[in-house]
Amino acid sequence: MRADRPSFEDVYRDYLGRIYAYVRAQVGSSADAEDITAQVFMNAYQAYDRFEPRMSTPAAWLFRIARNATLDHFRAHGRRERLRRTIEQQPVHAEDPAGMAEDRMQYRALLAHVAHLSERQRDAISLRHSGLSFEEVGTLMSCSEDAAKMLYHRALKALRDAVAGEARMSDAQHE
Amino acid sequence: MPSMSDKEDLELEALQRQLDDAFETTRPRRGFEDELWLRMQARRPWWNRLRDAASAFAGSIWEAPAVPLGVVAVLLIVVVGVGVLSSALRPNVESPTSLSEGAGSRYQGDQAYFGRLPSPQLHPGLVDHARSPAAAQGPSQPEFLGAADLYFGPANLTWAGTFSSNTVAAPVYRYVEPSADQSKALVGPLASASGMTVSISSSAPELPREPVWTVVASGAAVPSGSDPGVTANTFLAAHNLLPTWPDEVSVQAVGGQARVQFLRGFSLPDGGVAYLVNWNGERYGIEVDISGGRLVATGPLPLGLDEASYRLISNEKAAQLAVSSAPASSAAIQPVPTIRLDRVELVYALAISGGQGYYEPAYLFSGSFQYSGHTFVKRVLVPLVDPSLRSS
Repeated sequence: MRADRPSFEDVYRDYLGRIYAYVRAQVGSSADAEDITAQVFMNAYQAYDRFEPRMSTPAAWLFRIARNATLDHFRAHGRRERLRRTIEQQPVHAEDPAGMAEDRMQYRALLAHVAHLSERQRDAISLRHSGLSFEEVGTLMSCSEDAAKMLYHRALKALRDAVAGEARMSDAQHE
Repeated sequence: MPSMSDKEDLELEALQRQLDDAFETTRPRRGFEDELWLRMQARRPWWNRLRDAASAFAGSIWEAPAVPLGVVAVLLIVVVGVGVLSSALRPNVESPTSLSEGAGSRYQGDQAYFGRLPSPQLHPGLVDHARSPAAAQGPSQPEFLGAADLYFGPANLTWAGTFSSNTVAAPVYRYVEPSADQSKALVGPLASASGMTVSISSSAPELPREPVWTVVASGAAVPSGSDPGVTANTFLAAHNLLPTWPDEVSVQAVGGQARVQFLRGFSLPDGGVAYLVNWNGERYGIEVDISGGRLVATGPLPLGLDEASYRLISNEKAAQLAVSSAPASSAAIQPVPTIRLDRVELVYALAISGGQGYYEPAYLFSGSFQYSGHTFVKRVLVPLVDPSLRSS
């Protein structure tokens, strides 16, 4: 029996926000996130005829395309991206007032910490909190479900330490 | 007493909740969804569209097996042929299914969805007391103005600038004036917050200005901190008043007083943003004035907007209209100055008619000149919607 294939428009509407959030957590710039998200859906649109619902969920299929597009982006912009990431290591409170006001997204600082994790840790956190199961995360990252869980929990602890480290640094500067 | 392990588990659970919220609330800017869908449709090969139309039609026919197959074949050819012809003859990009909340029909040929539109104009010299409570309280308040004076009187104008784009169609956004009860519902829990006074003003067509809320807060209701940008941001976020539209933040401080503006923008089909200007040609949006532990914030009511795409005049035509336009004010410098307009910006300006407000694309031309040792700036607003689609 043939599995039902949702219309591409439904897939687009359901997943655009989640794919954007996933990409945004990786690249740390909304302009780059838009470019990559656009590329993801352009590619997905062209390939949708080949999407086989019996083999994969739309989420797993789209996040695979998104992950590849993000990796392509880092490969293409490697040097510039590393430089930008180095600059972005500056504490959030060092930014100018207007910039602080622009950074109003409540969780932007947290996503910036995610973007500074190692590639695999970043991926594990982003995929998991984009709504994928550990099984799907493992499949995408070429590891078992259990390995994905372990990787995720290590990433979570690394993230907690990074957030706590910045809080301590901020406190020290205010004393 | 919780063990170290319990404490760590609680910390990690809290972090997971924050991550869930962070990913849930991180979304692309408004308009991106429609823009990308349009781009995808525009790239789609025509044979794919033809195939989809054919399969959709055939799918509906299979549900009525009594229809002879020969009739199906003939109907299929006719319907697909008409579809291809109408697609080829349509003068504009095919409109997508609207995906954003409140979006309406788009431009199709000369049939504009909102009908004929009123024209936005500059009305220099008017003061909006609802939007500028600081200005309404007397001259002791600081003036947050640029260095140049504005001149709207008669002048001999020439055009010597360049256009950065050539937009053939752009969206017009419309709101319907809310009732008093609807306005109150829009600001909701704000009205009952302690330490704050909330007021609502309906549209002011003479300026024009859209319906606005104004919040005056003092004491504990004002976030502590020395950075006005952060204070304004924190206050607006705490009361769910942050802009839901594209914006640019401007922070100005004079002495112990500061004004933070979240300037309102509208997304353009090419991915850019055009900013909203008022009756003086100044950008505006949400304003937060902070002074001595008191905060006054004013911004547009979060009304739902309908959207329709309208055909625009050419850049050349806009430049001709700019240099031949009537002055927005009769207050004149003598002798009448000769001014070279050398800058132009695509903006949005409001026009109100019949209980509805329309945010319309326009070009704001400007040029500066010297008079009695002062630098003056001349501004000319040229509505871009084709005159045949305007009522005035």
